[in-house]
Amino acid sequence: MRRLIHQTAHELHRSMRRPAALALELLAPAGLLALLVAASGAHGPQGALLTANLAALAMALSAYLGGAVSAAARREHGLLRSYAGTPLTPGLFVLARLLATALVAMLSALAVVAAGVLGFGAPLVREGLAIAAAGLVLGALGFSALGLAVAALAQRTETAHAVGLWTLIAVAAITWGARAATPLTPHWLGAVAGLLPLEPVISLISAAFGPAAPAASAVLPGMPPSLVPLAVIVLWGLAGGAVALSAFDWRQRRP
Amino acid sequence: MPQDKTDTPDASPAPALAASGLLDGVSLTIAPGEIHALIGPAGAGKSAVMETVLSGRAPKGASLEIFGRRRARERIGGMLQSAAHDPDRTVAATVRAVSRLYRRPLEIAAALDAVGLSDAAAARVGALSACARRQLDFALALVGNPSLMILDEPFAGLDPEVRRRLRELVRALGDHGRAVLVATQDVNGIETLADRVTVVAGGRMRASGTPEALLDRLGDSAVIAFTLPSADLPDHFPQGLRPVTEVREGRARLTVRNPTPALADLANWAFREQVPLARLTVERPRFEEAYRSIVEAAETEGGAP
Repeated sequence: MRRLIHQTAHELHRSMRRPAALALELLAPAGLLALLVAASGAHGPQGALLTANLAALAMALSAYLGGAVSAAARREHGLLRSYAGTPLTPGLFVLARLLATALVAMLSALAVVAAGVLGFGAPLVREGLAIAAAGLVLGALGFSALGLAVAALAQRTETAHAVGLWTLIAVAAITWGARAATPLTPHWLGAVAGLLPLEPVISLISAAFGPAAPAASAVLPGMPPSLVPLAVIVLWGLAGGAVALSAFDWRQRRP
Repeated sequence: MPQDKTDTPDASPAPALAASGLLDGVSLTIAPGEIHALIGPAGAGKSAVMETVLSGRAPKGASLEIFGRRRARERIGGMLQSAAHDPDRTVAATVRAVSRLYRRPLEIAAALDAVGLSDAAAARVGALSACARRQLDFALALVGNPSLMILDEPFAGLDPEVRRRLRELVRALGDHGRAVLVATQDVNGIETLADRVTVVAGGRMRASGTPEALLDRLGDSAVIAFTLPSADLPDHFPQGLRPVTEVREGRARLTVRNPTPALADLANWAFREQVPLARLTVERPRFEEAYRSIVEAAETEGGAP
């Protein structure tokens, strides 16, 4: 535990040592929200919907894509090799990295939520805050675990970047396609989106702004609406964590 | 040798390292306080052995125990060939980050002083010379105050003075009860550094024992050397001695298994042809010769070039 705390603090320090980069990571999504709100004039409840979507995207970009590329790059440049001669195991490193990445990703999502609430009048609903907080925490941990799984399996940084970017684009396209459903949209798209990790996080964060209507509730009828997205993101996180813990090594994977 | 309250020889009866089945038949048993050199040509498999030991995970069919336990990473300090460090961090911060992973680390200043990097504590890693980076690698291996050090090519790329200093440090670590496994392809002077030597070539263990024991493998072999009157061997030099003779900078060196008949042939030839055997010496082969003969035998057996 002592090593985990030390290494997590070290990873956090690494993540935050360049103020300009950190500020960009935390504030760029909030800036994008400002642009979208200004362009669409979406204030109040409509602003809340935009806020929840952008908060989830900011989290996924930071935890999943950023986490995958950062870990893969450090490994590729040999920066992790010096740990091979220390008591730090690859598994402990994965856990520390997961915690540090998730924390930064949560801050990024919180910055968007704060911008939405303070700047654009997105209304907070007290009853939904606990569910939204759970979504923030579990979503950040889940996406971090998935990002580290990509880093563990990818041979090179470029591979991790390409896989991370395009899987995220695909997931976002399905998620937002389902959310913007028209009568012509196939019925299964909503079910698929509910099983992917982005939709549950959007649903859970949306709970902070009012009654959530998660698409995932259609997948497992009968369960309370907030438990389904929680279960989905937890399962994705566990799967990602299992892959990362078993496959991550100080050396690059060999073809 | 850095001193602190934990700087005591390890009294554990278990070997510092007991490994078998690494690569193809490589077995290592290292006692506390022993300096063990793993030597062999480039690509022999030394680094694979070192990385396996550092990983603490024995491959299938192999066994690996450190101080009698399967998991004892706290007691290991390692230095790999290809580790890199964050160029923007200072030397002291880099060492501190690793020291915090151990329960009873050395003081940062003591680790840096031991490897001769005290003056560079505040320098950024990116500004260090290649030699200083290897010193930093050594400091990182040392700072955890480990009972077993795994050093992969620790003397490669070092300035002569730093090299001498780190060799003395390795010797001092052994004298203070630390076990050290050193992998190197530079066998020059290894007999004065290591208590025991294991030779690997072609991914297999070829010999293991004290440097003296490996020298004894050469039996009564001797190196006869003399200075030639010309740059090359004369045409009338005995044909039987040519295969064992090498000429370098005007000096002929004959490595022979039985020196008596060789000396007789050489003396007869010199007397007959009126060739002076200037600065004639007859010496026991150096360790390099024993090593070379083991590696050459391995290459012959394995068909390597």
